[in-house]
Amino acid sequence: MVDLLTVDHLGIGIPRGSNTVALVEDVSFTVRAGESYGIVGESGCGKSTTIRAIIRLLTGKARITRGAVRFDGVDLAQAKESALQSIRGAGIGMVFQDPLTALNPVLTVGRQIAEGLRYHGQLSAADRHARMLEAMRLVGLPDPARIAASYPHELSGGQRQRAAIAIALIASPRLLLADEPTTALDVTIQAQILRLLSDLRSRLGMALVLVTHDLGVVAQTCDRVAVMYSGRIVEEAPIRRIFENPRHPYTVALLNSIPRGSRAGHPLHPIAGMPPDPAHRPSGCSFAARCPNRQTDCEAVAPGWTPDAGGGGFACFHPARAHAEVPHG
Amino acid sequence: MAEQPLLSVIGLDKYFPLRRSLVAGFMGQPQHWVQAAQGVTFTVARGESFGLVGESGCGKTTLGRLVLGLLPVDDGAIRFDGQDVTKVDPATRRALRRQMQMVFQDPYSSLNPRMRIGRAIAEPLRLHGIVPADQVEHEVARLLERVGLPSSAAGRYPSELSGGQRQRVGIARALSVRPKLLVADEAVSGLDVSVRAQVLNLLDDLRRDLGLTLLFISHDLGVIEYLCETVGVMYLGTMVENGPTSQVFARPAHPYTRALLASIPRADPTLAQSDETPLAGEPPSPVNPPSGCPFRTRCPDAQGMCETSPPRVTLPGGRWAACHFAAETMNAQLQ
Repeated sequence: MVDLLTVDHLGIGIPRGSNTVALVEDVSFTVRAGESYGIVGESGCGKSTTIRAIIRLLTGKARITRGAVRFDGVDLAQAKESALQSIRGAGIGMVFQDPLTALNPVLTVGRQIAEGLRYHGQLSAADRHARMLEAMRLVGLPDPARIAASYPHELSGGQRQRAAIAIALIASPRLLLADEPTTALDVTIQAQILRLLSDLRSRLGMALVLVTHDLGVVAQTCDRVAVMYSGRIVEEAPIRRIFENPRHPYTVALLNSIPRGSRAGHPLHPIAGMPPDPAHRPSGCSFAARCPNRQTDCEAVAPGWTPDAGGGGFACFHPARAHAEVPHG
Repeated sequence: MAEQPLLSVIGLDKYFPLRRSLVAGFMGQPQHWVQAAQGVTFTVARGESFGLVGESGCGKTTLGRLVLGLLPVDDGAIRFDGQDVTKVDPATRRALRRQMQMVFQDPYSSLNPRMRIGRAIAEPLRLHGIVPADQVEHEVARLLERVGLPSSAAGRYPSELSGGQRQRVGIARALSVRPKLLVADEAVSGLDVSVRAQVLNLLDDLRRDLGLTLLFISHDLGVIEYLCETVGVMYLGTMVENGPTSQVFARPAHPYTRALLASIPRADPTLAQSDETPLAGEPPSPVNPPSGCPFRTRCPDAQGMCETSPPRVTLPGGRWAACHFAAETMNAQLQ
């Protein structure tokens, strides 16, 4: 498969006084055409910041401090705003966590869905209208003509997220970035939206980068996954390997802290302590203070990247043992 | 178990009036009501952890508030330790309320940002005279340690603590008056998985060590399965299924429970996404819930008879489900 997006040693920082606090450090990954790539981690690990930086939608004073984001031969980290405009929507679409805040409350849903077409291609108003209704049907919105004339507050949470997905898809992007797209939804609606994203990906041949805190969502949706902790990717692997043979102690700990049955049958092992403050990260491994495998070398320098035989790799001096044979998903 | 349950909820109804414009009132247009609870009946044994699960708007939070007496009931009874909470005089109610405490979803908005943690916990101790005044400080330290916080946390403000630590403070505050029942409404929903696990284990340890009874309200089926021995599944203000969690989760008898369980994304990539098509549509409005079975408009098994109120079908293992086909649904899943 062709590499569609390459994030190369990306660093993101936010100025504080005369210093810069690093929110994301040295993040590298590649998304291939048509694949579904997950980024998982807990609050503050930098996962949302990373995907917002890809299409340069960082909020506040956060800035890309180093590295490159290559898409279609263009380095988005360096691109001018005009170049970004043509890539946003037509090259890369984005879906956010909360569809209510992502939608404009005073414009009809139909107008917001069709808006993207004004900036991409030379379609007549009638053609734009037809494409809008088609996009609404594609995302499973019932009665498109009626919903097109509705305002966001008149729709349910699930319908709003479908509308937000229609907005992201209207200009036929090759990559969809989704930041916690189902976190605000009920579980039965979440199942519908995840099914929709998978269907759209296979029908449109689109790649998906899905950011989530939910390991279940990743397991059911993604081909490969990166685990982030304290601003870095600590492990990357094909989806089955990460669940069957996690190597980084943080990944192991994360998997041990999700409920999978009764406490009697499957006791949870919480991770003691807290991630470090980004302004005061230790010089060694950021996870060392909470890590059961910690040794003295962990505190001296941050571990480099160790590639794994089955694809992916991890950043740890003392990883969990590799199983003899790892089936690749 | 001949012992009297700590909490019995019997035929509980609660409707909220929908705001109606003045003109609509004059024009004689009918008043609409939101059905938040309708005929809800269940019991919670002493020392049990009971999970109330359902999606947004199913009435689970309202039910928790009704139990605590934070909202008046429209009909039905809530027996707590043998007394009907809805009928007692104000003085008795106050005494009863001390025995049931609440842990809220967001410990940040439930703690006064300008009050140090120690004072926040000391307040209920003083109000209810739990310990003599000269021992309050000592008791605060003991409570903080009980929930896994250093006693030095007493001098901190809520903003200086993490989400998990604040939730521990919320729990310490609820425990301070030595309640029998703890109602926890989405108490771990705002927490990251690693911290959530800590708080879940804490709640379970407290229940065992202090003999507390826990009414745990959550939308998260995994959390309910982990923590609760018994589960009640809510849909549109009614309880549709009730029974031991392990049995209900292994062989759901109500089609809604079955759909809910099939919707959970399982953290195991070898389990393909459930073959069952996701539940179509969205819950109907609780303003005009469907007649008969509230789930029939989305139910894959619905038939003509579902337009009449479904019976409460008693099932083996101390379970029941409100569905004409409960036994068939449950038995269809026998492996």
